[in-house]
Amino acid sequence: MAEYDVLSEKLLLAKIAQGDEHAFRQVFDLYKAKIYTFIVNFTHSRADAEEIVQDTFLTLWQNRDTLNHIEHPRNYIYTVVRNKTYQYLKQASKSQARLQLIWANLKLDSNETEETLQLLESKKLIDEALSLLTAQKREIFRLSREEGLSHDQIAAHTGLSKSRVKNIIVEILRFIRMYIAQCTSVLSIMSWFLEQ
Amino acid sequence: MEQYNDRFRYLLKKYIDKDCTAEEFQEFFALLAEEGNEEILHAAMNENFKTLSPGAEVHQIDWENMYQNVIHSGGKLKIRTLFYRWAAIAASVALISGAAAGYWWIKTGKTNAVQHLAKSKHDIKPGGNKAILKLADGTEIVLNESVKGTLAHQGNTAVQQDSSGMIMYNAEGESTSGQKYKNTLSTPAGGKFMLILPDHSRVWLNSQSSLSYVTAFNGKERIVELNGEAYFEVSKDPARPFIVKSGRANVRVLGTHFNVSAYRDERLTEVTLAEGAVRLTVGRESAQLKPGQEASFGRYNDTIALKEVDTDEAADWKNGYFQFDNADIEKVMYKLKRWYNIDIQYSGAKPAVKFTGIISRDNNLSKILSLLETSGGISFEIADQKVIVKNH
Repeated sequence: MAEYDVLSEKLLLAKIAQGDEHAFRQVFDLYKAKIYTFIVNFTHSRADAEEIVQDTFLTLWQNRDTLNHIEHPRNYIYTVVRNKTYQYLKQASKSQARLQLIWANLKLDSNETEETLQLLESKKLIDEALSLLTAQKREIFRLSREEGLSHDQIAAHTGLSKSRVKNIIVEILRFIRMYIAQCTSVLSIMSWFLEQ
Repeated sequence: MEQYNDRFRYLLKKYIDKDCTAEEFQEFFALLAEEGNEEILHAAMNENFKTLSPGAEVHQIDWENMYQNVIHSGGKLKIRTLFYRWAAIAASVALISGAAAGYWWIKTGKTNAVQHLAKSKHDIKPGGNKAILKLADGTEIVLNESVKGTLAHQGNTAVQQDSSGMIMYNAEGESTSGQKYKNTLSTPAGGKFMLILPDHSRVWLNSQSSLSYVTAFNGKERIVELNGEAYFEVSKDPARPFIVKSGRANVRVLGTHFNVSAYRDERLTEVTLAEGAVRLTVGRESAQLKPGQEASFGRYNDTIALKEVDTDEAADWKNGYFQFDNADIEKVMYKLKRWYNIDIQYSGAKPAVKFTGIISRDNNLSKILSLLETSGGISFEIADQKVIVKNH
């Protein structure tokens, strides 16, 4: 990110307050990557981070008429992001299902693109794990696995971005994998005999 | 109160570093709303926001789509926020998760298997972050999670261990002398370790393995020597190919993710490619791998065989799992042997049973053996540091 220039950023916010989209685009491009990385650091979820970033800019844009009086643009934007991230964590702390999603991201994080679940043939366990997710996430997973739609098609169908669809699917797979690995009471190891 | 806050600081750090246990993770979220902890979290967030630099993953986001969504939301709240939506769904989820998720959570980490193995007096604990670092002058440093800070200097490069326990090399200025410092990181049975090389490539070293390298890559090639198994995430540098040497094999790459398993006591050496492209050379034979492929060759033969595999299985250990896909007993026991530092003995013929599944490496040995036993046709006995495999 470029050097912080309070004056020129104040000017940008003042223009945004007048409804200047071009100025808003500049602020968007100036902060998007930093905000996104910050949220990922604290939520460990790329899919949810993308939603919170969008939500942050939405807040800025919808309250643009108040941006005239901001003394420190960076501090202001940061405070919006920080509050949203804190709210996210606080909400998560009240739900075991949400905590499990974060936990799976935390423990199974790697640079995998998309994992396959061929190994995990227990339909029952997969269904159990899916039942803990939001309806939206379940639907995205169903479109991908059962209908065989591509990320592009799912994006078009749900109105979400392609990157978000991809990250949601990756994180669901991680979650299911963790769920099954931990369900040791129900056997996660299957075997069969080979004919001797 | 002060004491509780210190505890929260500790948990927060572990949470951010992705280094917490399941219990610490739960505790962190339980303490989140306690008095004083919100301020601590905010302070950590301030610090993080000030100092962070965006990671490579930001390039994968469809920013244009997001921007359009925001701009075209109009004056109304067309896109409901995460939290509103959550509140709506929460009610329906709570009923299911209250029972299911809670149950599953309690299960983790606590062995309550009823099989006879669990009652065995001498259970064997899993391995952890352990290694020995040998410096250029022959000095050996024993590494574990409690060591932190700068360990040594090699020319202009500082050797450091950070709080999450990994080793890294930081150049502190231009290398003036042409002197090369060769270091070797070795893990014992039951050990693993992560390392960041001077070019920022990341390496996970599995048990009973060693990796040698120079502390500054000044030459035309970045060469490392491997015995055993390691997973590599090589930073891109087309001008200086990265080469892994292992016995008769050379793996040559530009920037990519792959696993090399080259244990001398195993029949096959395997190179598994997750991303990018690598070329494997063994003697006069050579093969180019595509993502998702695994190349292998035997101890006495240079012929390279290529096949399609689940690359996650090859790198399972890096993520804290044993993952088996139709693996025979020998392969399963080799993996257990290295992680639990045990000897394996077969009583009678080797059972012709194959295993498919995934299980955490954090479990004690008895729990894993119990699971394998319940699959039938096989039983185990633990005696000191030895496991006897029985066919029945």
